[in-house]
Amino acid sequence: MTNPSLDSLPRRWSLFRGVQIRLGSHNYSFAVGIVGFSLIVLAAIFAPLLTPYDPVALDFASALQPPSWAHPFGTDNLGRDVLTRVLYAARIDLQIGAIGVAFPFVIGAVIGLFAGYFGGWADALIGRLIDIVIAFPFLVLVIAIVAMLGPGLVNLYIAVTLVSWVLYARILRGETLALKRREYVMAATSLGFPHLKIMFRHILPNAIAPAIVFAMSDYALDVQLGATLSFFGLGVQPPTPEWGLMIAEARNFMLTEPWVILFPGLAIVVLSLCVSLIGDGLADRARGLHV
Amino acid sequence: MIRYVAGRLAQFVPVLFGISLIVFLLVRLIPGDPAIAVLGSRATPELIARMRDQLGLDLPLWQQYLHFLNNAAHGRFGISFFYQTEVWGIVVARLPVTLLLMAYAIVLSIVIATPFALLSAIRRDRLSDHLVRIGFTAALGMPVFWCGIILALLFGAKLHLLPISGAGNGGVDTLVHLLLPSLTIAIAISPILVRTLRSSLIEVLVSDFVTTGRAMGLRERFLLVNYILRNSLRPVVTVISINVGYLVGGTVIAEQIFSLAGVGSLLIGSITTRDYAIIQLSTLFFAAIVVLVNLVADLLYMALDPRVALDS
Amino acid sequence: MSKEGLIVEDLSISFVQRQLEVVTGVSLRIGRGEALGLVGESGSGKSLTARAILGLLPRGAVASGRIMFDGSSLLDLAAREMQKLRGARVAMIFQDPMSSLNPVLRVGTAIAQVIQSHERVGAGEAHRRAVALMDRVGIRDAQERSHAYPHQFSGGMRQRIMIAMALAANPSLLLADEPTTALDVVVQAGILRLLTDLRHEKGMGLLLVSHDLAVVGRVSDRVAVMYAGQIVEEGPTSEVLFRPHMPYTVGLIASVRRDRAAARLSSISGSPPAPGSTSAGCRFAPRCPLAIDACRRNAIPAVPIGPGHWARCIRTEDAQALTAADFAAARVPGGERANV
Repeated sequence: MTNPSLDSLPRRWSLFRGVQIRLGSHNYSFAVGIVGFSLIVLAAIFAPLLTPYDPVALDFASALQPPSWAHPFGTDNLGRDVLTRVLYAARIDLQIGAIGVAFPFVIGAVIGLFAGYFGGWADALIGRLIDIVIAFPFLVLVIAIVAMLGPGLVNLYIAVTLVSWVLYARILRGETLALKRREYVMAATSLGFPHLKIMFRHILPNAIAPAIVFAMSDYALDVQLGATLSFFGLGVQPPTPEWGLMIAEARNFMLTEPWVILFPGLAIVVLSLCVSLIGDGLADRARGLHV
Repeated sequence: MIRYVAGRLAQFVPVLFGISLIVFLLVRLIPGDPAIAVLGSRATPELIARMRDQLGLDLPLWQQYLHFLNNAAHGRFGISFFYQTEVWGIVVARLPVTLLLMAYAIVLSIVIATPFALLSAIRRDRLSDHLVRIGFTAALGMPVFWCGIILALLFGAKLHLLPISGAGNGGVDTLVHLLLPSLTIAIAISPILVRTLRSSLIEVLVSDFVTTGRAMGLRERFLLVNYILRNSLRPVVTVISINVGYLVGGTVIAEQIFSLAGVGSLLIGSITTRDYAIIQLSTLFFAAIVVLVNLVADLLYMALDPRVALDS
Repeated sequence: MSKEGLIVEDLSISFVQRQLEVVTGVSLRIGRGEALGLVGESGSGKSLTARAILGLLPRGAVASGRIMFDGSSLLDLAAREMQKLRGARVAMIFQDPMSSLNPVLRVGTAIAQVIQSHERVGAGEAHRRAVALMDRVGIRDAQERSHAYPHQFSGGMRQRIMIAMALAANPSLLLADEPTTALDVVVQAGILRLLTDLRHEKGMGLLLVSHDLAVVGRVSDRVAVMYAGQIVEEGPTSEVLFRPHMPYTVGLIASVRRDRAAARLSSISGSPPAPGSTSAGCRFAPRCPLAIDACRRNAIPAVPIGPGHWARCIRTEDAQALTAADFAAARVPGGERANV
């Protein structure tokens, strides 16, 4: 049982497949993932309500305290409550994932759709471009672009968009090429439907499914990328709280006060896990829907 | 067979050109006058003029590219501001560490993944299977840099078991020094391997030829090595090849964290110094590594499957 | 009664999860050097029966009953003991030689490994014997060909290689699960001839499972006919093939012979019952032209017909007189179902 469209998915797709939380014959991955993700989003939004502390206020008196009732995640070297910072950082990291996926998704999907639909030399050119950009390791290319543009969140978004769009273009292009030959599309064409209508009403809804599934794993990877770049000083700048940045700032005393690097890291792990569960759940359904 | 290899190598060339084009365009991304931006605080009128000359910024773009290609063909990729020498030499000198680290990581990840995948496949859908899969999925969510510093913390600083910086003095000492960084990278890619190997094993375990092997009363070791593993490892080659970009990313991070003198740490280091020539060449090298690994993987796959090799 | 050879008593095979019984109360006996043909259509349970003997049932299938070989019980054999038994005392060959041979192993090595698994010989000696075996089963230029891979051989050759592997450790019983089904008729004949020769040469017993009556007829001393998981007739080959006493057997044989008048292959209308959906009575009753109430109500005993020949039917006297036309005309309750 091979599904040609799933087989044509871009490389990183293969990272997230297969954990399923099953009870009986039902797959609960999707549900668990969505619930977990929603909790994180809610915690991020309602951070001010959940914690009395200020994420950036300095308080040297309370510096480097281990986890306690007053500070469930302890405090960092500047006396800031770690839990508070983790919650506020969630806002940034969730945003990094969202924007890091949204822009490439839209741009790549449109380009891929048009290229696959109209074919011709433009399509061949785009196909080549995709192959070439894919040859670059993702992290390396993003770092190189950020190096040219300068560190900062906006430049990070630009870099990620410039690199990631090809992944979505590839999916959509492949799907479009396959779907173009389906009877219902040919029927619509012969009936004289305008191209745009065919593309967006007939092809897109079916072609988009694998892209959405991929977007989930892309989300998790973008969050990790943002954290990695911030860790190396290339992304979010202090004092804005961001998980990767928090880990970098705490590196010097991680020997004696490990909780400051532990909790932000766990936050990344949990968010990635939830998102990949959503992806797995969606993939399961996509497999069922795709004929 | 030779024709197939030659064909693949021929495909390599246009991709290489494409990569060089992208790398060339990279520097032109810099907002404002690239020359000033690159020189930053070092900018003086003569340096700016020299930089503009070196970058050929006054020429039309396509001419600049040809200029660039011509230089590249002669091994001239520019001069590093920081090191004040040709970048080619600097990057090439650091290549062995990076390549060794990558190879080491691949080997380690296969060593880690295989027993778990076997366990998972044999005890399919039982508790141990679920534990393995959930465990590795969690590992997938762990950022590489975080894993790296935690490993360094645990084994290096706290337990003083392993060195956490530098590449040692060659031979076994180097292998010991590279153990933690390789392990960091291996933790990042073994989840993918476990997943692939597990599927592959499940398929092979119920295949007709394994049943035949059992029916003939073959000893466990023959069955496991010659029938099961040799047929299950092929997809692993493919998967590693597909994810080599991820592998390279992990290598760059590990080099930086464990202070290894490889191309990755060079890249990261040259960001703050705006050493564009190094950034350019490092990026080019990494892309070339990816393409080469894909090629090698294809050939390896052919070697592993007698049906493919002899057909062409 | 001699303890030698294979004794299967009341073997039942079920798929535990779906609670389906696919083989019910099968009993067989194969003495030393005897050849038994097990015949039946797809889904009758014949392959599973053969696999159960060597403990090669698919995942989720469980066997109960008794299987004895040369006095030892096979059903509760430990893994290590089973490995020693397989290949060395009881061997098996399968239907599709392409998928049944390890694609990454040279055939000489594959055969040699079987030898090395059962005897203390070095690789060189094992390979030498492998080549000799390949030669014995009819592969020309065996020495050279021993370095080739399975995909470089034709179907018939691959089946010979599989036979060589099976015989490598000198078993006294060979189970052959549809060995000729994937081969064309000419090649089939060669394989069957080879099997017969080897049998006589080594005094080896044979269980030949097939849906093809002609194949079974050519090689076996005795034939057992299976239907819907049960053995419905058993006896010496000539007896069963020329004087069948169970309606199903009659229908089976009739469907093989072309109806000269109608110039059409006749078949038994209807199809076998789905596993697990059967009642206490005769499982063939829905399609049997002779079925009466008594057939559907009670379990049918094995009715003796002649020496070593019995049939699971209470209307054996009328069975012999059945013709192909009777089967085509038999009505199936619940409407006609497409013939498979």
